[in-house]
Order: sequence, then C-alpha cells, then structure tokens
Amino acid sequence: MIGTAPGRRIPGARTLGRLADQLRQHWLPVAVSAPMLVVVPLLVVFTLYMTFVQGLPTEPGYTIRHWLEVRRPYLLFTVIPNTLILAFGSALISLAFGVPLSWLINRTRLNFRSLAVVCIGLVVIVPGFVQAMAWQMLVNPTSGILNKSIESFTHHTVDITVNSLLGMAWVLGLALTPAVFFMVSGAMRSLNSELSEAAAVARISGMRTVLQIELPLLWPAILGAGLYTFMTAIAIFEVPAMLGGGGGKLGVLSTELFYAVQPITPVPEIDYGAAGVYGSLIMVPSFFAMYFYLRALGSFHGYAVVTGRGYASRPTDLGRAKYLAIGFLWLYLVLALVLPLLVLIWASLQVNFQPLSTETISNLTLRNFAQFFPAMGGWRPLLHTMALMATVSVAVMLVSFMISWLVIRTKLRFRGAIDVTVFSSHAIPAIAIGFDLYLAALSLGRWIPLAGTLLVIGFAHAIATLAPATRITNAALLQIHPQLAEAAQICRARESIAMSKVMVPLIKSSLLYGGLWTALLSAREVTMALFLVGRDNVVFSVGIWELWRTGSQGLAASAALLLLAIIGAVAAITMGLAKRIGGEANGIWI
Amino acid sequence: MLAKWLGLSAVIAFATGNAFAAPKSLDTLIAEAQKEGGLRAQIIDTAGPEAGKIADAFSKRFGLSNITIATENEATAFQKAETAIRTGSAPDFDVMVGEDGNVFSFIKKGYLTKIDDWEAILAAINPNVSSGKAKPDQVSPDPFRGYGFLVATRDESIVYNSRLIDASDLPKTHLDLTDTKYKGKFNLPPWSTTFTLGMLIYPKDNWVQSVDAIGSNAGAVLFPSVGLNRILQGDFTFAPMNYLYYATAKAKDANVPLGATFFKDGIFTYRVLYGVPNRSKHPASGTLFALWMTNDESRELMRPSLYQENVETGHTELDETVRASMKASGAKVVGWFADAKAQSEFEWLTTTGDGSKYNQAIGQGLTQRK
Repeated sequence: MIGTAPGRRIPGARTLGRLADQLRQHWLPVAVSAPMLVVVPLLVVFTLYMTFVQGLPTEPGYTIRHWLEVRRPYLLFTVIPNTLILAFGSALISLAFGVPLSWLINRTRLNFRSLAVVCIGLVVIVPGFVQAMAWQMLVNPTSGILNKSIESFTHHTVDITVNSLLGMAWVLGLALTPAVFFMVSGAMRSLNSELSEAAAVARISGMRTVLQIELPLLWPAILGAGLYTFMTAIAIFEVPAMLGGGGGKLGVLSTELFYAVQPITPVPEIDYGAAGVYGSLIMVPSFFAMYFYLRALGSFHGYAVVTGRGYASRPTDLGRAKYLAIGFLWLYLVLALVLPLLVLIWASLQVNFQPLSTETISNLTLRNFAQFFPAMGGWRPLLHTMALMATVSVAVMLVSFMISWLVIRTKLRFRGAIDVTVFSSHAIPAIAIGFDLYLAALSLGRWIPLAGTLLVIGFAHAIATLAPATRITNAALLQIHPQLAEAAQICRARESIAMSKVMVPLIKSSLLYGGLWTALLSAREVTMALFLVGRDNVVFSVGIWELWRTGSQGLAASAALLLLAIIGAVAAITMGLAKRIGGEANGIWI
Repeated sequence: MLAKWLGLSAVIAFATGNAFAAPKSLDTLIAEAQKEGGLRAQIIDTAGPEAGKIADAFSKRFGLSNITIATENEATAFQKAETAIRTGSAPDFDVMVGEDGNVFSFIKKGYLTKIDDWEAILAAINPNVSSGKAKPDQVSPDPFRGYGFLVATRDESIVYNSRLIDASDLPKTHLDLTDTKYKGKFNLPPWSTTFTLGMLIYPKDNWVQSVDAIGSNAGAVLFPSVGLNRILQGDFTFAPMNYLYYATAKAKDANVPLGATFFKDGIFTYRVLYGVPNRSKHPASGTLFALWMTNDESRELMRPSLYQENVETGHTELDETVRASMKASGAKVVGWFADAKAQSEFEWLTTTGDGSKYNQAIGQGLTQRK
C-alpha cells in the first residue's frame, strides 16, 4: 500500500498501484518469464556497447571508429543490399513451400501425413553446410549434375549456379521451410472447420474458401513465420560461407561478422567493436521486421476462431488434386531432404570426398561408421545433445507459454513491451549471443562456475529458440477465444488452473510441436556452441562441425547420419505421444 | 673463508628465491605432473580423431592419469585463451598449439610461461635431440626460445587435380596467379596469413596490387578442406594450400587424383609450436606434453587423420620427402621468423597502424571484400 497525505497524490502512484495489483494477479507467469525478460535486453545492450569498445569489452577505453568503418562503400553498396536480397529471397521461398505444405498436411486428408511431418522435421537437422554442399554438387557450370543433364539434352552450355545470391536464397529458403511449416501448423490445426463448412453450404469454391476465408484468418501466423525466416536468414552464416559469401562479390553481414570474430590475419585478434557493429547492423532490419509483425498482431482478437463451443477442425478432401499435392510434397522433400541425404550417405562411404564414378564406387567403405565415435571422444557429446534437447525444449515451452499468456491473455500494461523484448531475442545474431554469454561466463567465473558447462549452452539455446517458440504459443493462444478464459475467471478459478485445465489442453498440440521444433533447433545448433564448449560440455553438432571443418568429411557425414536417425526417432516418439494425448478430435495428422 | 662465502651465497640465493635451485630434471617434472593429477591439452585440430590414441600414449609414457586431449580451431583457441587470461580466468587448455605468429604474440604479451631448464628435459624426451639429429635451439629457436617448441611446419604448395591439369601447366610463381588463363580455375583461402608473406619477396606496394589481381582472378574463396573437395569434384583445377592437405588426402587413398608442387618464387612457411599459457591449471603436465609432442613418434600419432611435415627438425619419411621436394623446387623458404629482417617486418605488420592497414589491404584484395 502506498501512503499519501489527505488531499495530496504522489504522481504516478495510482498507476504504480495498478501495476502492482496486476503483477500480483499474474505472479506465476511473471515470475517464470522474468529471467528471460531481463537477459534478452541485456544482450541487446551489451552487443551495442561492444560497438564502442577499443579492446576487450570488460576493459576501459571507448571509440567510435568501428561505426565510422560502416561508411565503407563495400559495406553500403554490396554487403547490406546483398544481405537484404538474401533475406527477402529466402523468406519468400520458405513461405512458398512452407505454407502450402502446412495446409496440405494439417487441413486435408492427404495420405502419410505423419511420415511427411517426420521428414520435414528431419530437414531441420540436416546441417546448412551439407545442404549447401549438396546443391553445389547439383548446380554448378563445371560439374553440376543438373547442368550436365540439361546439357546432354539441349547440347547447350548451362551456366546456372548456386554460387549467387539467388542460389543462396534458394538453398536457405529450402532449409528454412520447416520453420514456416511448424510455425504455421499450430494455427492451421486450430482453425475451426465450421467456417469452411459454412462456405461449402454457401456453395463457395474450395479455392475461394482457402484464399478468402482461411488465409486471412491465418495471416498473423504466416506473417510471423515469414518475418521469422527473414530475421533468421539475415544472421545465418554457413550457407553464404559455403556458396561464395567468403568472397567479396557475395559478401553478406553474417560473413562480415564471422571475419570480425575469426582471424584472417597473421596474428588473430578478435575485433570486438567490429563484431558489435555487424551484430547491430544485423539487428536493425530485424527490428524493422519486428515492428511490422507487431503492428499486424495489433488486431489479434479478430482472429480468434476457437470458442470452445462445438470446436472441431475437419480436413478437406482434395479429390483428384491430391496427386498434385503429393507431387508438391515429394518435390520439396527430394530437394530439401533426399538430395542432401544422398550427399551425406555418399560422403560417409568415402575416405576422400569425390564425385560419382565407377572408380569411386569400387573404393566405398564403411569404416567411417566405426571410427566417428572415437574421433569425437566417445558418447558424451551425443548424451549432452540429448540432454539439451530434452531440457531446453521443456523449459522453453514452459517459459513461452507463460510469456504468451501475459501478452495475449492479460491486460498487463506493458504486455506489448514483453512481446517486443522476447521477439527481439531473435534479432540478436547467434554469434553475438554465444560471444556475449562466453564473456559473461568468464567474467562471472570467480563466483559462479558457468563457463564450460552444459547449463550455459542450454541457456544460449533457450534464448535463441524463445522467439520462435513464443510465435507458436502466441499464434495458438490467439486462436482461442477470450471467452474461455473469462469463463474460468467467472468460476473464480485461479490463473494457474485456467492455464492448466482450460488453455493447455486446447493448445497442447501446438505446445508439443513447439517443443519438437525447439529440440530440433537445439540438436543442430553449432554457432553459439562453438564459443561455449569447453572440456566437459562438447555437444554432438560441434563434434560434427569440427570433423567437417578439419577435413574428415566421411566421419562427419556418418555422425550426421546418426544424428538424423536419432532426430527421426524423437520426432516419431513425439508423434506417438501426440496421438495418445491429442486424440482424433483434436488432431488431423496424429 | 670458503664456508663464509658459501654461507653468504646461500643467504643471497635464498633471499632471491633461488636457494640451491637444482636444474629441473625430467623425473622432477614427471613427479610434479603426477601431483597435478590431470591435463587438458590441445592438439592440431585436424588430428582430432586421434585424440584418444595420443592421450593413451602420453599417459603410458609418463604414468599420468586424467588426460584430456581436445581440438579447437587454433586461432580461436588463442583468442579464447587471451580473453580468459585478460578476464582473470584459467584458459581452456593447459598447453596450446598454434602458428608462429600466434605464439610470438603471446610471448610478447606475456601470456606464455617460460620453461625452466627446457634443454635438459628436451634432450631426455626427444630422440632427435639426444641423438644430435636436431639441436635444442632448432626445436625452440629464437624468438621462441624456452617458450615455444616446434612440432611441425606448414609449407604452402599448389595442390591440383592431376586429371584436369598437367604439372607443367601450373603457375610457376605467385604472380602467375594473375594470368587470365587461370581465371576462375583456382580457389583461395579466406585468410591473409599466408599471402602477407609475399611482402618479404616482392616490393610491398607491388605485392598489394598483385594480391588484388590474384583475388579477382580466383574462382572462389573457400576454407581449404572445402577447396580441396571442390578440386576433387573437378570444379577447380588447383589451389594454393598447405602441403598437409595433399599428404593427408594421398595417404588416405593413394589413387586420389591429386598432385602437389611448390611455387618457384618462394615457399611461404609457418612453424607450428607448442607453449604453456599463463594461469594453466596443470603447468608441469602441460610442459611435459609440449616437449613430448616435438618427437617424430608423437607427431606420427596424429596419422591417419593428419600427415603433417616438419621440415626443420623432423626425420620421418614424409619430412624427408617434403624437404627434398622443396629443395628441388629451388625456391627460397619464406617465413616470418627466418631472420631478424623478416621478424621486424612481422612486428611492423602486427603492431603498427600502417601494418594493420597493409594487412587489411591484403585480406581485402584476396577476398575482394573491398
């Protein structure tokens, strides 16, 4: 209680009092969300702070010279435009594949939907550099399989290449399609079929129903997914690096950031300031994207279509169009999964990576499969990765649900700021998160032994996956009509009861798939882990990366195949679990 | 009188902390290492798959336990160690390996520990030294004496696809890489470490322009392991890269269509050295490991993942082959620490503003990031 003299008021006291009441009322989600809501802005501030340091960020001395470097024509007229073209291109390609796939799998009676979901999940785990390598083998003017095939028919030279901005966008777009798929699937699955049934009664065609009824209802989820992939594509390093971003013509911000934190000089010195500047430059378009996303979200109540009354989500029968749909699904899976997988298998059977020929076939060997575990130092990296997948996914979905609850389901005064804060975590490049946490762990080392632990990697993964996870929970909660929660309030149910008994059962499939998505991201993440690994916390993805980077492609490929098998098993178990807890009424492809 | 003098000497020695300090022997060092009870050692990253084998051999040789051998990108490991030391923490590794530039800069900054009585211990550990095939000051030459210990050399060669090009058609000098007949036929590494050495054989300004022309003539900028794959796939005909990539690929599969030769205008060479960083948690074990890794036998434990030559103090078959090929090429070996002039150029490059700009220009020319 705030005491005031009779007749006098302390300015803002009433607001503060109301705020305190609100915080008390929502103490559980506030308490669970608070640590992340503090850490994310700190990381943004720290990255910006780094732009002004002369040496190590923990030492004194400031300068603006890193910002002055931005005026370089190369950066202004090559790197920044390249980055934007790559990000827009990737987002468009991933939406072009991801949204139709999500609709086909969630809203139609297509056969083998569960298998298709597992396969799309597997695409996530195929490392980006493997995808790039596969496409490099397929499309290049000198030895590309596709180029040579077309040339044999047309007798003309085919100069198409993936070593271009468009090529990079194509490969990245395919790799990011699962992100769109998983982010849109929650909303797709929650879409009430009564609307499309009403359209059918009114004799509105199937295509018009999709375009004029379902798509408008889904557009916050689609926009969120598009912006997410845009922000992801800006910061991804490995694909541009493999497809020519290391050179000057195709340079993008992520490769420039890499050069700032990785040495290219005789005496390697991290240019902390330049790293901060590139990190900040990556954040700028991401913050713009976020602004548009939040504006779109402003009218979210208009998209609530699940009221709890006779809610059912019924699939559409495609009729003869199902063959076209199956063709589209297979096209994507061949491009994004089968092809890289074939390259992985091919690489795993060779000592030195060589193209297909009768000679190389006669030299194939299985010895990489026997050698990769000892090469990685035993089972520990794999166990670490599995532990991270389990803990990070559970923790992130819990925190995401709580955050989305605050943002979507409460009238908290600063709920918009909470959403901005959480989403901004995705604007921070993974390299910067890894680097910031690495410095923090070292600086706090005297008091808290964080450096070199799994906890610090898990924390980094949680920060990096929080934004996509909250997009999933936001989209799911947006679909649930407020009347349901209000009904619980009228019954004087506690907030925790309203969450666990009313909301969670309605969005459990979204939570489950959000958890799966988070686990997949955690399993494949390598950029942050490279900074954070020490003696006792090596993870499997870093092991694979190191083997690949140092030339043991065969060992790396066989290890990657094992990881894919594990991820496939995890996805299958999740599907089985979803089927058991979700039931037919709430599930289409489970 | 003599007793008085000895007594006085003892007092002075005690006061200066060196009371009757006997030269450290291998046995003393082993006893200290055993007391430390562990080691976290770094090895050359390409040798990662052989870490377990190296740990076992080291444990067995010195009766030590709790040995962890790990890999990390050398330059990243040095950066992380520097960050750790500057923030008051212990570095990840008790003993580190890196190229001469890294090691020299650590010595200059005071981040490496000087090893006492290293000559005697080295002679007891390294058969090449005890047999007189290598001198201690070759294993730990100036300016690394007592701090850095040579395990290998990295010698730049031209690695090519022998199905696509004949050795006689390859560029003879680095300047030939500017020839338009090679346009798009070769790839380059993204770092400037090797190419900066060109300033030791060509006038500085001319060399920057040449590197710019080389960069614009190159087909792609790729990590060497990726660049080698692209050569094997036939996307590129050749690439300047360290001989070890050729030796390792060839040792794994003798039929692989690769060849290697050296430029005639100069062979850019780096030394690879071990050192014990400050704040190391197990300095005695780290010292033992650093000195033990200078052996040919220890280096051979990195095979088959890495076939790494040591043309200065090594005497394996590979060392002899590479040494003979380098000699046959007639080219001068060019390294930053070959003589005082080269070292002073290195210091100019890495400690002055002009040097930093020059280095940046080389990097930008090579990658065309300008």
